[in-house]
Amino acid sequence: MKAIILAAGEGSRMRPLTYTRPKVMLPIANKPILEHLLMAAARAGISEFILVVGYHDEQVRDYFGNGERWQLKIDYLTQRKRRGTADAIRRVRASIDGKFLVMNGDIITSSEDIINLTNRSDNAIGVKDVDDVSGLGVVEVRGGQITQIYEKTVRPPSNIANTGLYLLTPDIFDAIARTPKSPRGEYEITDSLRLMIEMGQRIAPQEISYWLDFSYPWDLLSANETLMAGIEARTLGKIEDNVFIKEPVAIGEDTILRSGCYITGPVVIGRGCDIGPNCYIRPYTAIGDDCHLGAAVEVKSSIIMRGTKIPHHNYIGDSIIGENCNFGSGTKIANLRLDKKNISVAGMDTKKRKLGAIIGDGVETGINASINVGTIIGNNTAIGPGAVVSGIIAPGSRVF
Amino acid sequence: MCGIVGYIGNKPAQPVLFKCLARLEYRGYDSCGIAVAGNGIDLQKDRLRVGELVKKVPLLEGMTGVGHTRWATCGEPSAANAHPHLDCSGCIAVVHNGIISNFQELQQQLTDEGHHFLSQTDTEVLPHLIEKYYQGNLEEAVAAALKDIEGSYAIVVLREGESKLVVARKDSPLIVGIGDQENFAASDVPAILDYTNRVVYLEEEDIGVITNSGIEIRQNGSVIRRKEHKIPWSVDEAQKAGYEHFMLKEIHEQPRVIRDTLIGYGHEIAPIIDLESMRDTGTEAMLFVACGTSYHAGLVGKCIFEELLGIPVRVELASEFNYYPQTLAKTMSIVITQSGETADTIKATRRLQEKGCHVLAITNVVGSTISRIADLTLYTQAGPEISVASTKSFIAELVALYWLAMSYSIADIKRLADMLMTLRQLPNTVQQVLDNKSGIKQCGEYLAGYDNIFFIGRGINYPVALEGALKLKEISYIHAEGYAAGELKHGPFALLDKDTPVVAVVAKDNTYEAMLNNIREIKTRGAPVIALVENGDESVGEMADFVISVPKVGLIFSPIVNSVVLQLLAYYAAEKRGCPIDFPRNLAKSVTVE
Amino acid sequence: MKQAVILAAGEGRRLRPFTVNKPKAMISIAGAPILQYVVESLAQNGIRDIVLVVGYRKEQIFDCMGSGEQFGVDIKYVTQERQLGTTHALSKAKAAVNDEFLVLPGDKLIEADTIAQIAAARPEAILVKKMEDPFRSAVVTIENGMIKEATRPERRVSTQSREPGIQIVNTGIYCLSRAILDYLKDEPSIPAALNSVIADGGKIRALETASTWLDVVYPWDILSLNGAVLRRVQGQLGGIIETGVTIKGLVSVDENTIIKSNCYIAGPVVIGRGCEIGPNVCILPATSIGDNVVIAPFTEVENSVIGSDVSVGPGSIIQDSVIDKGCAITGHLSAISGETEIKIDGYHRVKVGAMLGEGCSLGSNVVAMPGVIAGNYTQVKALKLISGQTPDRSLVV
Repeated sequence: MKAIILAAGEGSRMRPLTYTRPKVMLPIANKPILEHLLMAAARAGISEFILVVGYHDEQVRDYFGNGERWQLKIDYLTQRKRRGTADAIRRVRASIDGKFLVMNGDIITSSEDIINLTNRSDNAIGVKDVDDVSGLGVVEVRGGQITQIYEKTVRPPSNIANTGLYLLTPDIFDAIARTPKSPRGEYEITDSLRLMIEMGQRIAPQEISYWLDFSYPWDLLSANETLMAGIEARTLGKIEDNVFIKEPVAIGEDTILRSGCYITGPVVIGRGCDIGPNCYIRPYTAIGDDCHLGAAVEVKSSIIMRGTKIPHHNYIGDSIIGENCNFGSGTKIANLRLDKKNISVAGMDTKKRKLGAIIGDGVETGINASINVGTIIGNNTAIGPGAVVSGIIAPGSRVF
Repeated sequence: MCGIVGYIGNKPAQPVLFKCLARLEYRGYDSCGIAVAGNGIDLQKDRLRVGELVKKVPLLEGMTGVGHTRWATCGEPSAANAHPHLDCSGCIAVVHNGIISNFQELQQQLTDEGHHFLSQTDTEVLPHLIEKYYQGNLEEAVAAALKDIEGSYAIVVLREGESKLVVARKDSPLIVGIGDQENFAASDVPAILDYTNRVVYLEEEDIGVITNSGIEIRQNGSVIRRKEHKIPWSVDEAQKAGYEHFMLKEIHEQPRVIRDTLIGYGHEIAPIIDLESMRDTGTEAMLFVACGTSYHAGLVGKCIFEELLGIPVRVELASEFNYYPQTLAKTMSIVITQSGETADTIKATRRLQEKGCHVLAITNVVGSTISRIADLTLYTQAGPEISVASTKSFIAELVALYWLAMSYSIADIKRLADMLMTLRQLPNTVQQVLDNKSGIKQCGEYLAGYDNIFFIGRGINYPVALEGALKLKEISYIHAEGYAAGELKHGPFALLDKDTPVVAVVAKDNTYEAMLNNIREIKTRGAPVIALVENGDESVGEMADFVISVPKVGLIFSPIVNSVVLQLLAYYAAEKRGCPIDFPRNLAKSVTVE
Repeated sequence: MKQAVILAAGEGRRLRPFTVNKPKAMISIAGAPILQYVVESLAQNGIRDIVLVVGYRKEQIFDCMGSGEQFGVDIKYVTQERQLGTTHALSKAKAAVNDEFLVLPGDKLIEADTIAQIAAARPEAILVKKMEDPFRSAVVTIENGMIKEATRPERRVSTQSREPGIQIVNTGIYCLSRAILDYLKDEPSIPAALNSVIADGGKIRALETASTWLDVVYPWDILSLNGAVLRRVQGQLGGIIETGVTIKGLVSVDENTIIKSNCYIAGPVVIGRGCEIGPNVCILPATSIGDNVVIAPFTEVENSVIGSDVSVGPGSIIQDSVIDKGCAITGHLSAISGETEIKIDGYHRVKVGAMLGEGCSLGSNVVAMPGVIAGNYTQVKALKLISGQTPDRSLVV
């Protein structure tokens, strides 16, 4: 069975992290979201994929190539203009025979759930009961059948979320051919499915038990905790004397942990990193390739992307740091309000009591800069020495 | 100068080719044609514009094709001379932009070898040469054919039964558009923006093979990788947005263009470009080289630079400069071209560089040829300009020159601060002209009734008069001449009578009194006078037949507001005469032949 | 998907001098004209096929809205050369409209929520709102959720007959079908045409909204519009913020702007691109500043709208004022707010500072009395006191 994975979107709510990469390439536990999904599908026995790419497609192509590295066969379909999910599926019709799987590329699920879905014989949508469906598409289920599909709305009429996992039969192509443009000006697969329901065709709900969905940057931190819990300890790099490691900790090739590092897992460290001496890395921290964490640096529950340098006297907690950032000595990120209330970003309650900063690529800070809770910093911004920043900082700004 | 396109992919080629060609019509439109490889090669061409040919042609089968929209340089506009051209067997189709200077001898040689020619064009030697060298490999045959050729070219070649296009360029622009399972070749980026924004610029003497899955470029036989660029412009930006003509839309965009260009350069008068590194020690002169409207910007620049930097500046037309024996080797040179593709200017740049000059280019198009060969490039922020008659790019070039001059000025700080303040207010001052244009419209419509018109100015406004005359003749087809006001009495006075209106650009600077005298002289010869004067100027009003008041902006900035007035004047004259304002006859947007 | 016809041909005479060079819909707040907020609200509701009826100073609309691509919509322009009422405007759009479409005014601030309601409605329907001061608008009568009588909006009511209390008012937002176009010919306004539909036995729903719908009638209304727009500002700092700058509340600073040392900015405040503010400038709520603006040291700006390309010299005080684009203020301007009586179509008692048209130039130490309305391109010499209303291009010496 083939799987079509929709990976063309930008994910504008993930800005600034998505200015330079599509949402599906955001790293969780040092792997892109899409890789987690592909691996789950591979374990469920699917080996042929068509990735629908568009926004920053080069990132997806460069990373996954033709899939050889994972013994998978990966083809690409480029959607340059936003023409919708149904249009993407229509365009791959020629390479489809029989049932096929369609998955949103920006979610993570388990191989068991994929197997359950692929075992069905008819058209099916993966669904999940969730408490808070705001920002999600939902479905109505009656008598074991889906009776209505709704797009994201402010007040969803049910709390059964559409997980963006579909098992489809070639019948869908007729429905796609008759699908009109949505108000967004795109051809949506949910509209095609709605047409099928109207025509009296059966669409079954398939309960999905494990489902991670990401709307905002801080959702990545929660998912990071969930996925890090399952990592395997392995040490491919070099560890000097007097390093304390509490497993599980995964350390990549050519990485060096210098004396006096204290690491409590789960922690993932990529390849070619230079860590320490005397660096304290606390649980749920994922450090990308070629990073440098130096002396008297403490990091916890954070995602740090490739090539970033956090070299001296820094504290980073509950934060996401983009690629190739450079922190001045003593730059620290706060992660807890003094009044212990939930942290809000741009007037939105993140429902998190601890949240540091979301920092884009190529951000530089001067010595002793202080970054307040819930700060969002755009790409290539410079924060001057001793500056105190909070709120939202636009890309390319300079704050002194 | 012509527009060429090529397509290879998974869609029927014909509609794609026509759509791309329509976007290249600014490069010329006296005839056009396409060739599609399906069952053999289907050729359709005629002395028509693209929109007209589309209606005439049946749907051709085939997903590979080439197309051409022509502006005659060699051989009159006719169906036979329209591209594409085929070889004797009808298997090879070529579209070409450029000039083959040795085509006559090649044609003779090929005729002697038994080839049969159907047109008077230089291009037709190409398919026959390729036919001659073809031994099973199209790109090798093209490479061999190009060795025989002298001159400039951008070509796309197609051969029946081969699923590829061969492209090559020398001294004419060519880009390759990268799509998904489809690829494009075109003279210019706008042609393909409907389909993709990923572009590879071909360099001099590159030969490329395009298939539907990719492109392979060779330089001197060895494979070479060219960088892919993402183009931020979208096609829709080029829509008229309510205006009758692109020209009027672009005139109205000028306040924003000035603001964007200024904002792009920063807050303080600081060097926007490191000129010091270019300045050869001991040289105290500058050279500006440009063509057409950009040349006029250069002439205004001369006045600004001489005033603010205190050094002499020479301004040359690129097309003439290329034939001068001397280049002034130790001079700081600035070349100005809107499109960055103007052939004469590019040639001049190369010539200057050969002589060891550093060249600073001012251009509007990121990634254009000039930006790749010049030592330094200063970009203007005018955005895509569609109308053949340049308006906003001229103003943006002026703003760039003002800023450049101010950042190296030897004038005192207080004066510069005042100038900066004036510059900051300029967007609004120009908006004031646009908001009060009804008087200009009246004058424009008045001028539409005459066949000969003089534009006069003095000092910094002399180039403004030249530019005003150029705009008027370009789009309204009225014979107009720009003249230095003091030169009228040395000849042109003989032409003045009641049917020869004179447009006088009057500035309240050191030329003011002399200008008043000139107007008095003209009035005594009975010619109607339209005068552009500063708000509140009473004395000209008594003499002139029409007065257009422009907002006061201080001496050195008057060319900006005066130019905007003259643009509107030309526009309304042309509109009254019912001329095709955006695409005047015999003209093309970027002139890529010498 | 529905289509929207936006009526933006009107001049708005009572807003002079701000409407001498631009139509009412182009009055700008926080870097965007009213019309743009309407278009954005439509786009948020997925309505992307937009017909813009333009007329008075239409170039200003073309320049700003373009093809609509910037806002994710597709705009078609229809020109109404002479402003002969809403039915005339709508009939101009006849060739461009689909079977069902919305009609909205382009010169009122309308929020996305407001449009959501009418977008979901079936034709024919009118959006109505309970509000005070029907002096400026039109009252409708409703029976069982249906319109009984729709009177003409913008009815001129003399000051004496002003009716106090809350009324149900027609917002000028309609959901109509093509059938209505047949009624347009003989009637001067859309409500009048709807009245004849009702007379013919047609049914017109009345939908009541509680969301924002704000009209601008007099120059000082620009300040309340500013307040409404700034209420939804998203704080985002761009450009260069020098050391020692204090920023409180929601403040948006756009790219290439520099805020120099020791400025104090208390949101909601919006500052556009390429501005130069400070050092030591105090900007208090609720202020919006356009692009390419210079505010020199020791100046205080509070609850004001400053247009693009304005420069304000040092030591000025600007309160509750509207300063249109391109004004050059040399320094030490006092534009202090105060309660005053202004005469435009009768007398109005308002608390307001100065209102300066486009391109005014003020010498140093000018005192602008509360309620002064200076015409476009007014020039004021140093040490002068200006008050009352001056025509365009006045010279105060």
